[in-house]
Amino acid sequence: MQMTQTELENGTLKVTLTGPFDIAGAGDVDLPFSVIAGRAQKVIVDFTAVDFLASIGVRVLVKTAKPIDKRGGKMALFGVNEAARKVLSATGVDTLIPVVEDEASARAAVA
Amino acid sequence: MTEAAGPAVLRLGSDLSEVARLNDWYAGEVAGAGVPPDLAGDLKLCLNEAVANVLFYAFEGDDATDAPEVEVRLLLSPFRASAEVIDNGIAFDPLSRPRAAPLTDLATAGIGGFGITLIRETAAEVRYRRAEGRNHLTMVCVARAEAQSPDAPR
Repeated sequence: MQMTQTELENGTLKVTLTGPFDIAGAGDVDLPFSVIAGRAQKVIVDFTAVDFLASIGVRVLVKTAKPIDKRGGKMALFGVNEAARKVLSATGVDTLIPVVEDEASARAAVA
Repeated sequence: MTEAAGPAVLRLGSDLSEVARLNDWYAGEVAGAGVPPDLAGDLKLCLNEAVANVLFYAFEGDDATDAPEVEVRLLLSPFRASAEVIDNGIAFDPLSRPRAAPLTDLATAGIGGFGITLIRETAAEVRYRRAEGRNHLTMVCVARAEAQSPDAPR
Protein backbone atom coordinates (compact mmCIF):
# COMPACT_ATOMS: atom_id res chain seq x y z
CA MET A 1 0.00 0.00 0.00
CA GLN A 2 1.24 3.47 -0.84
CA MET A 3 0.71 6.64 1.16
CA THR A 4 1.20 10.25 0.20
CA GLN A 5 0.81 13.19 2.55
CA THR A 6 -0.15 16.69 1.49
CA GLU A 7 -0.26 19.71 3.78
CA LEU A 8 -3.34 21.79 3.00
CA GLU A 9 -4.17 25.27 4.26
CA ASN A 10 -5.45 25.67 7.84
CA GLY A 11 -3.12 22.97 9.06
CA THR A 12 -5.09 20.13 7.55
CA LEU A 13 -3.12 17.06 6.51
CA LYS A 14 -4.45 15.07 3.55
CA VAL A 15 -3.38 11.43 3.50
CA THR A 16 -3.94 9.54 0.24
CA LEU A 17 -3.86 5.75 0.36
CA THR A 18 -3.53 3.44 -2.63
CA GLY A 19 -3.96 -0.34 -2.64
CA PRO A 20 -5.40 -2.98 -0.34
CA PHE A 21 -5.53 -2.08 3.37
CA ASP A 22 -4.88 -5.68 4.45
CA ILE A 23 -2.07 -7.19 6.53
CA ALA A 24 0.61 -6.17 4.07
CA GLY A 25 -0.94 -2.75 3.52
CA ALA A 26 -1.27 -2.09 7.23
CA GLY A 27 2.39 -3.04 7.65
CA ASP A 28 3.34 -0.48 5.02
CA VAL A 29 1.48 2.45 6.60
CA ASP A 30 1.48 1.65 10.33
CA LEU A 31 4.63 3.64 11.08
CA PRO A 32 3.76 6.76 9.06
CA PHE A 33 0.27 6.74 10.62
CA SER A 34 1.91 6.56 14.07
CA VAL A 35 3.89 9.70 13.24
CA ILE A 36 0.70 11.41 12.05
CA ALA A 37 -1.08 10.30 15.23
CA GLY A 38 1.65 11.97 17.27
CA ARG A 39 1.61 15.38 15.64
CA ALA A 40 -1.36 16.12 13.36
CA GLN A 41 -4.48 17.98 14.48
CA LYS A 42 -6.72 17.84 11.41
CA VAL A 43 -6.41 14.78 9.16
CA ILE A 44 -8.43 13.76 6.13
CA VAL A 45 -7.83 10.37 4.55
CA ASP A 46 -8.57 9.78 0.87
CA PHE A 47 -9.83 6.20 0.43
CA THR A 48 -10.69 6.54 -3.26
CA ALA A 49 -7.92 4.14 -4.33
CA VAL A 50 -8.30 1.69 -1.44
CA ASP A 51 -9.79 -1.45 -2.97
CA PHE A 52 -9.96 -3.63 0.15
CA LEU A 53 -10.25 -2.91 3.87
CA ALA A 54 -9.66 -5.60 6.49
CA SER A 55 -9.86 -5.33 10.28
CA ILE A 56 -6.16 -4.69 10.58
CA GLY A 57 -6.69 -1.54 8.54
CA VAL A 58 -9.54 -0.52 10.82
CA ARG A 59 -7.18 -1.05 13.73
CA VAL A 60 -4.63 1.33 12.23
CA LEU A 61 -7.29 3.98 11.64
CA VAL A 62 -8.61 3.79 15.22
CA LYS A 63 -5.09 3.74 16.64
CA THR A 64 -4.37 6.93 14.68
CA ALA A 65 -7.62 8.69 15.52
CA LYS A 66 -7.44 8.11 19.28
CA PRO A 67 -4.49 10.39 20.12
CA ILE A 68 -5.68 12.99 17.61
CA ASP A 69 -9.06 13.02 19.35
CA LYS A 70 -7.36 13.23 22.74
CA ARG A 71 -5.61 16.42 21.65
CA GLY A 72 -8.91 17.88 20.50
CA GLY A 73 -8.18 17.25 16.82
CA LYS A 74 -10.25 15.44 14.19
CA MET A 75 -9.84 12.82 11.49
CA ALA A 76 -12.27 12.03 8.65
CA LEU A 77 -12.36 9.61 5.73
CA PHE A 78 -13.68 10.25 2.23
CA GLY A 79 -14.01 8.41 -1.08
CA VAL A 80 -14.74 5.14 0.71
CA ASN A 81 -16.12 2.37 -1.53
CA GLU A 82 -19.21 0.37 -0.62
CA ALA A 83 -17.35 -2.69 0.68
CA ALA A 84 -15.09 -0.62 2.93
CA ARG A 85 -18.10 1.36 4.16
CA LYS A 86 -19.67 -1.94 5.20
CA VAL A 87 -16.53 -2.81 7.16
CA LEU A 88 -16.51 0.56 8.93
CA SER A 89 -20.22 0.25 9.66
CA ALA A 90 -20.10 -3.38 10.87
CA THR A 91 -17.31 -2.52 13.32
CA GLY A 92 -19.07 0.67 14.43
CA VAL A 93 -16.00 2.72 13.59
CA ASP A 94 -18.01 5.01 11.31
CA THR A 95 -19.70 6.33 14.46
CA LEU A 96 -16.32 7.49 15.78
CA ILE A 97 -14.49 8.56 12.61
CA PRO A 98 -16.67 10.52 10.16
CA VAL A 99 -17.01 8.90 6.72
CA VAL A 100 -18.05 11.47 4.15
CA GLU A 101 -18.48 11.65 0.38
CA ASP A 102 -15.76 13.95 -0.88
CA GLU A 103 -12.72 16.00 0.04
CA ALA A 104 -14.67 19.22 0.59
CA SER A 105 -16.94 17.46 3.09
CA ALA A 106 -13.95 15.91 4.83
CA ARG A 107 -12.23 19.28 5.15
CA ALA A 108 -15.41 20.70 6.61
CA ALA A 109 -15.69 17.76 9.02
CA VAL A 110 -12.27 18.40 10.55
CA ALA A 111 -12.37 22.22 10.42
CA MET B 1 -14.22 -24.69 -9.47
CA THR B 2 -17.78 -25.74 -8.64
CA GLU B 3 -19.11 -27.48 -5.56
CA ALA B 4 -19.65 -30.64 -7.57
CA ALA B 5 -15.96 -30.73 -8.40
CA GLY B 6 -14.98 -30.66 -4.73
CA PRO B 7 -13.16 -27.99 -2.84
CA ALA B 8 -10.21 -26.00 -4.12
CA VAL B 9 -7.43 -26.40 -1.58
CA LEU B 10 -4.45 -24.21 -0.69
CA ARG B 11 -1.88 -25.00 1.97
CA LEU B 12 -0.25 -22.02 3.64
CA GLY B 13 2.84 -21.44 5.72
CA SER B 14 2.58 -19.61 9.02
CA ASP B 15 4.24 -16.39 7.87
CA LEU B 16 2.04 -13.30 7.56
CA SER B 17 3.27 -12.79 4.01
CA GLU B 18 1.23 -15.87 3.07
CA VAL B 19 -1.91 -13.71 3.03
CA ALA B 20 -0.75 -12.16 -0.25
CA ARG B 21 -0.39 -15.63 -1.80
CA LEU B 22 -3.80 -16.56 -0.41
CA ASN B 23 -5.43 -13.52 -2.01
CA ASP B 24 -3.78 -14.13 -5.39
CA TRP B 25 -4.98 -17.73 -5.37
CA TYR B 26 -8.44 -16.70 -4.18
CA ALA B 27 -8.81 -14.15 -7.00
CA GLY B 28 -8.14 -16.85 -9.57
CA GLU B 29 -10.54 -19.31 -7.96
CA VAL B 30 -13.49 -16.89 -7.69
CA ALA B 31 -12.96 -15.70 -11.27
CA GLY B 32 -12.95 -19.27 -12.51
CA ALA B 33 -16.14 -20.11 -10.60
CA GLY B 34 -18.08 -17.07 -11.81
CA VAL B 35 -18.56 -15.70 -8.30
CA PRO B 36 -20.04 -12.17 -8.51
CA PRO B 37 -17.87 -9.34 -7.09
CA ASP B 38 -20.03 -8.62 -4.02
CA LEU B 39 -20.08 -12.27 -2.97
CA ALA B 40 -16.38 -12.72 -3.73
CA GLY B 41 -15.61 -9.61 -1.67
CA ASP B 42 -17.63 -10.81 1.30
CA LEU B 43 -15.88 -14.18 1.44
CA LYS B 44 -12.47 -12.59 0.83
CA LEU B 45 -13.02 -10.42 3.89
CA CYS B 46 -14.05 -13.41 6.04
CA LEU B 47 -11.14 -15.46 4.76
CA ASN B 48 -8.60 -12.70 5.41
CA GLU B 49 -9.88 -12.20 8.94
CA ALA B 50 -9.89 -15.91 9.75
CA VAL B 51 -6.44 -16.57 8.30
CA ALA B 52 -5.00 -13.45 9.95
CA ASN B 53 -6.28 -14.67 13.33
CA VAL B 54 -4.65 -18.05 12.77
CA LEU B 55 -1.32 -16.61 11.65
CA PHE B 56 -1.22 -14.06 14.48
CA TYR B 57 -2.33 -16.24 17.38
CA ALA B 58 -2.66 -19.98 16.67
CA PHE B 59 1.03 -20.77 16.79
CA GLU B 60 2.08 -18.60 19.73
CA GLY B 61 2.74 -19.81 23.26
CA ASP B 62 4.14 -22.90 24.91
CA ASP B 63 1.20 -25.09 23.89
CA ALA B 64 1.53 -24.33 20.19
CA THR B 65 2.95 -26.78 17.69
CA ASP B 66 6.33 -26.05 16.12
CA ALA B 67 5.12 -27.57 12.86
CA PRO B 68 2.31 -25.23 11.79
CA GLU B 69 -0.14 -26.41 9.15
CA VAL B 70 -2.79 -24.14 7.67
CA GLU B 71 -5.14 -25.16 4.90
CA VAL B 72 -7.93 -23.29 3.12
CA ARG B 73 -10.72 -25.07 1.27
CA LEU B 74 -13.13 -23.21 -0.99
CA LEU B 75 -16.48 -24.30 -2.33
CA LEU B 76 -17.62 -21.70 -4.83
CA SER B 77 -20.70 -21.07 -6.91
CA PRO B 78 -22.25 -17.87 -8.30
CA PHE B 79 -24.80 -17.87 -5.47
CA ARG B 80 -23.04 -19.33 -2.46
CA ALA B 81 -19.40 -19.38 -1.48
CA SER B 82 -17.81 -21.04 1.51
CA ALA B 83 -14.33 -21.19 2.95
CA GLU B 84 -13.05 -23.61 5.54
CA VAL B 85 -9.84 -22.67 7.38
CA ILE B 86 -8.13 -25.62 9.04
CA ASP B 87 -5.12 -25.25 11.32
CA ASN B 88 -3.25 -27.31 13.87
CA GLY B 89 -2.70 -24.38 16.21
CA ILE B 90 -4.01 -23.94 19.73
CA ALA B 91 -7.75 -24.56 20.09
CA PHE B 92 -9.72 -21.40 19.49
CA ASP B 93 -13.44 -21.04 18.83
CA PRO B 94 -14.06 -17.48 17.65
CA LEU B 95 -17.78 -18.00 18.17
CA SER B 96 -17.16 -18.43 21.90
CA ARG B 97 -16.07 -14.82 22.13
CA PRO B 98 -18.77 -12.43 23.33
CA ARG B 99 -19.99 -9.99 20.76
CA ALA B 100 -18.17 -6.67 20.91
CA ALA B 101 -19.92 -3.91 22.80
CA PRO B 102 -20.97 -0.94 20.67
CA LEU B 103 -18.32 1.74 20.36
CA THR B 104 -19.25 4.96 22.12
CA ASP B 105 -16.25 7.25 21.79
CA LEU B 106 -12.64 7.24 20.65
CA ALA B 107 -11.29 7.74 24.17
CA THR B 108 -12.61 4.35 25.34
CA ALA B 109 -12.57 2.46 22.03
CA GLY B 110 -10.31 -0.58 21.86
CA ILE B 111 -8.18 -1.04 18.78
CA GLY B 112 -8.68 -4.79 18.35
CA GLY B 113 -11.30 -7.49 18.09
CA PHE B 114 -12.76 -6.17 14.85
CA GLY B 115 -11.95 -9.28 12.81
CA ILE B 116 -14.34 -11.65 14.53
CA THR B 117 -17.05 -8.98 14.42
CA LEU B 118 -16.55 -8.69 10.66
CA ILE B 119 -16.82 -12.44 10.13
CA ARG B 120 -20.03 -12.56 12.18
CA GLU B 121 -21.53 -9.57 10.39
CA THR B 122 -20.51 -10.61 6.88
CA ALA B 123 -21.02 -14.38 6.71
CA ALA B 124 -24.51 -15.85 6.51
CA GLU B 125 -23.30 -18.86 8.46
CA VAL B 126 -20.22 -19.56 10.61
CA ARG B 127 -19.36 -22.97 12.08
CA TYR B 128 -16.49 -24.08 14.28
CA ARG B 129 -15.32 -27.50 15.34
CA ARG B 130 -12.17 -28.96 16.82
CA ALA B 131 -11.28 -32.37 15.43
CA GLU B 132 -8.09 -34.42 15.66
CA GLY B 133 -6.10 -31.53 17.04
CA ARG B 134 -7.22 -29.09 14.39
CA ASN B 135 -9.47 -26.03 14.32
CA HIS B 136 -12.00 -26.03 11.50
CA LEU B 137 -13.70 -22.68 10.87
CA THR B 138 -16.25 -22.67 8.07
CA MET B 139 -17.72 -19.42 6.77
CA VAL B 140 -20.53 -19.34 4.23
CA CYS B 141 -21.47 -16.25 2.28
CA VAL B 142 -24.45 -15.96 -0.04
CA ALA B 143 -25.11 -13.64 -2.97
CA ARG B 144 -26.64 -10.34 -1.87
CA ALA B 145 -30.00 -10.87 -3.57
CA GLU B 146 -30.29 -14.26 -1.89
CA ALA B 147 -29.13 -12.80 1.40
CA GLN B 148 -32.00 -10.36 1.29
CA SER B 149 -34.65 -13.04 0.77
CA PRO B 150 -36.70 -13.95 3.84
CA ASP B 151 -35.62 -17.60 3.57
CA ALA B 152 -31.90 -16.87 3.69
CA PRO B 153 -29.97 -17.77 6.84
CA ARG B 154 -29.20 -14.78 9.04
